[in-house]
Amino acid sequence: MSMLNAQNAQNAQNAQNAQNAQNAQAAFGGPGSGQLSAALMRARDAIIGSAQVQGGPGSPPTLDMAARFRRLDGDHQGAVIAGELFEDLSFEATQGNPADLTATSATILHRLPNADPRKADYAPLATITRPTVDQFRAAVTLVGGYADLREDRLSEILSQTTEIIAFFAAISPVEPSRSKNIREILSVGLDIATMCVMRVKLALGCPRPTQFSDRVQPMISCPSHAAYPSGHSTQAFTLATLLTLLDDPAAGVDPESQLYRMACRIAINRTVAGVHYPADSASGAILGIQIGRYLMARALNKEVTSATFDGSAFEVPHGPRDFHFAELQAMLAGDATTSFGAAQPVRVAPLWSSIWARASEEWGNRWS
Amino acid sequence: MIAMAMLEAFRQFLRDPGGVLPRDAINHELKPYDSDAERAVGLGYLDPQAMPDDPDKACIIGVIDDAMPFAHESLRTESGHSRVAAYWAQDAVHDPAAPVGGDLPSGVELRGQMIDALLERLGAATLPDEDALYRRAGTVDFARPQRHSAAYEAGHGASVLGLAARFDPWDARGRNHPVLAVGLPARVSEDSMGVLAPLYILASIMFIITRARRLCRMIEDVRGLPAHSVKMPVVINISYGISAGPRDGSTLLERFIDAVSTMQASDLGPIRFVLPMGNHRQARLVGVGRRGDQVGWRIQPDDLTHSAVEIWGPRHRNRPERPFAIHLAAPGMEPVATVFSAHGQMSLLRDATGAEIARAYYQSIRGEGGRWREGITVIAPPTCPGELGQPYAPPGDWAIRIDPSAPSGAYEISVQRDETIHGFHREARQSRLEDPRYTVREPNDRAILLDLPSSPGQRPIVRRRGTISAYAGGRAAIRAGSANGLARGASFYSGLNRGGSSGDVQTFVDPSDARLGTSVQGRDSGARRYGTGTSMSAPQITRWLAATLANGTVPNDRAAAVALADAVSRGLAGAVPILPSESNRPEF
Amino acid sequence: MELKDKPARASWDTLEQVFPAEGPPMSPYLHYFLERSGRDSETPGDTPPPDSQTEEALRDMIEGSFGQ
Repeated sequence: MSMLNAQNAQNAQNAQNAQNAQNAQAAFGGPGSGQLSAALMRARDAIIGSAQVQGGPGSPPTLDMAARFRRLDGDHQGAVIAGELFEDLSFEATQGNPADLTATSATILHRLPNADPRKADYAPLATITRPTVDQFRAAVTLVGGYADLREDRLSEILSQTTEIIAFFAAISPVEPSRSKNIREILSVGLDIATMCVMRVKLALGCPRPTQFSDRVQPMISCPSHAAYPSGHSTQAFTLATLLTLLDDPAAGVDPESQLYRMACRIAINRTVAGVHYPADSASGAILGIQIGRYLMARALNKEVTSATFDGSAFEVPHGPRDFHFAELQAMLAGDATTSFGAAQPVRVAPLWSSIWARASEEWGNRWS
Repeated sequence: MIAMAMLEAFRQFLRDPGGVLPRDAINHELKPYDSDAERAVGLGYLDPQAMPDDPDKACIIGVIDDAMPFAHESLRTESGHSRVAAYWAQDAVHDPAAPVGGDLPSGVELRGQMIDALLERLGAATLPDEDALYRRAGTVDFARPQRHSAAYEAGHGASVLGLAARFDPWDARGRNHPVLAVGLPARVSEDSMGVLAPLYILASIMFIITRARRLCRMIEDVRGLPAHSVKMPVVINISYGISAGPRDGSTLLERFIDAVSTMQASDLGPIRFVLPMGNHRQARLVGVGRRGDQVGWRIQPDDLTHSAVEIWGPRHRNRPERPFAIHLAAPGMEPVATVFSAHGQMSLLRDATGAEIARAYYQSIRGEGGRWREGITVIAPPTCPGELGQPYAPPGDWAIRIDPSAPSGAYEISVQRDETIHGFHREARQSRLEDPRYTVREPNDRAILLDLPSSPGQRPIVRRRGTISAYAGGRAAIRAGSANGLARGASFYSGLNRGGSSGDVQTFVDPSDARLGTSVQGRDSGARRYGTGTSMSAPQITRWLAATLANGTVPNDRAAAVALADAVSRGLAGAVPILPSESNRPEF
Repeated sequence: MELKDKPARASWDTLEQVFPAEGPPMSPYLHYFLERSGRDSETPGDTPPPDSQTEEALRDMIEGSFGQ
């Protein structure tokens, strides 16, 4: 379950689930059930007699932390997992010029394993460099060109302002009632992606297309946070990567697969809507893929490679570069924008691993 | 001469160059036409109860379109028999053992009496509904690798066929109009550019003509009439169009339509054609420039189909020795001039990495009056490839410039249509011309109906004139425009010929600019929906023309047909005539 | 930096005779489709002659329609 507020894609859905959970609780005497409390008090008075309350003998616990964790209710489970995962991530921002108010690049770092639990060393997970203001300005023309597709994409764009898991669930069968843990993984993935991308956006402080032209006139309200990278793109690529790696932890990124084509489409839809440039989708793709890989690595104690995306190189001779699945393929093959580094170990996350193990089992049982 | 060109076209049909036909639709054992089969029980064109009372007061209606509902109630007689004498489904599974259709290159033929047998089963409830009938007939089969437009309730073919040929079963006029129809392969309708269609349309026309002649012979047989005394005329409706081409009648389809319209066969009545003007008046697909002029060509992003533009030069007495050149600039790149040296060449435009971003073909053709015209066709690949590994073009504003040293005269630049009809894949995106001098709408936001006047040197390249479908440039076919009930004039989108006229004849299709569309039939009996566009006008004109010919009035040429329409026009005087609508209301 | 100062260059390389220089007009779109679909690489104008039965059947159909 998610602890984050309802303004991000998917968090609205989770907020709804949380509300349902609260309602269920309330039926059992949570806040707001005054009548039940009064009844409990009255009944107790009638049956306990007058002797002082004495305790009976206790017993040591029979469940380890992971098992006790799994018994937590949704919200609290989500809080623990997010904490376990996020405590290993850190941020670094680099300014091109010390006087600049925004950074030129931002790096998400992950903690390396160490025999001494109080010693923390970090390795880069993803470094995102921003395009220049001039490059953003040039890309506004592409955003304008994409506006012609708005009518065609209307239903998708509106749906995707609050819900993207459904689009991936259409591809990989993950119905909620039989994929509780897979759904948990996806939900956590969204949260981690949001936390990462929001820090990067804040550091880089990139302008939205509407700031360059009053003719963009987006068809949805433009979010108040910075443009680059795209949150939707980061989230969509995180989900695509998680589902791909759940099926096969050794899988690479296949831009032609339905999961990644869907991620590309969700990302591009934000350009159609008028709130992002293609570069935002491209950087979000690399960031999302890295987050997905990192989450798998922490579950299965695997290594993860670092990645860099240089938005200032995301152009074609004399013009802005477009983004779609063929461009993603070019990026992954290694062009001026994207590179992958050496593999590094991660600290295993036991509670997260237990969820992943159950999710794997659910996935393995999908034919039954 | 034309017969040889047709033969070549048929060879191409059999080779199926566009990969249009499913493998199992192709007829590998082409046989000569079997006239004995006509007389076999249950294989004849029409049941005698569906034949015209007086063949001299009859006119066959031919329709070539996407999958059509040949078993629709509006195509039956009161006795429950089919008025459809033959239906050819070009991409249905071909059965070499089928008793009819062995002379056709592909698909399935259903004769009227075969449809009757199916209708009888429908009536006896051994076929539960019309959908089951089409599945039994083989025209609907979800297992086959194609778009199942024959199953669409709101199909294009259903609406066109209904407008052209529907009669209430108890309306005796229906029997005066036997129907011959051809369902084009779904892939042809799916081709957003419409450029695969001509071969299949030509074959469809051939089918209608041969079957029409045999139907006349059958009526003679059944009624005991002298040979060649039954010579029913035929009106053929083709509600398809494209937006780029020479528009001078020089293409094979146009020449064939003209030739067939002027021929006098000894055993068949006159044949006339109706084509839509097209719906692209406002679409910025057509421009006219002179040498040295430049116009923008905007290609959309995320376009999974290729985009094309054709540039046709002025007429010359002799074939030009040195092909003219155009300068093409992709977005962000310098313009580069083509370097053609002979007719029939192709050149690839590659970017600095060697990837193909566009190609061009050069042709010089001999048209009307023996004059020569040069044409360059530029094709840009999709801006998002359908599959990895295929080339893709940069989206945005390209620039096309006519070389300043090209021969003087008018150069017509037209963008090929690139959109899909209802129900087909939606990934085509229409590219268009961009011209800062062109005014898109009036300041009060109304559509501009005709090109605005402009001072010399300020004239926009992009035009509304000349947006007529590029299938409709011949001399003989009646070109159908859409009319607007409120304005009693042409609908704002209806194409214009070069002179600015919205066709030869119009019918009311749209009540007003704000409410487009007329009531049309769906696939299943009883279903209705709204359809707009000149595709809905053409079949209404077909219907009127067929009634006119059935009455014994034969317009010898286009002008004569227009004069007949003028006499009953509901439009404004001096404008393109608008036929009165048929009343849909019962009369008490 | 230098790369940005120079405008991007494309070029019309490849000039192929895809239709016969003295032949009838052909459809560039069909040629493009043939190539894209990876079908026969032979040009549309360069078909092998159909067998005589097909040729005859076609001729009958075409000439028949002209009432000859």
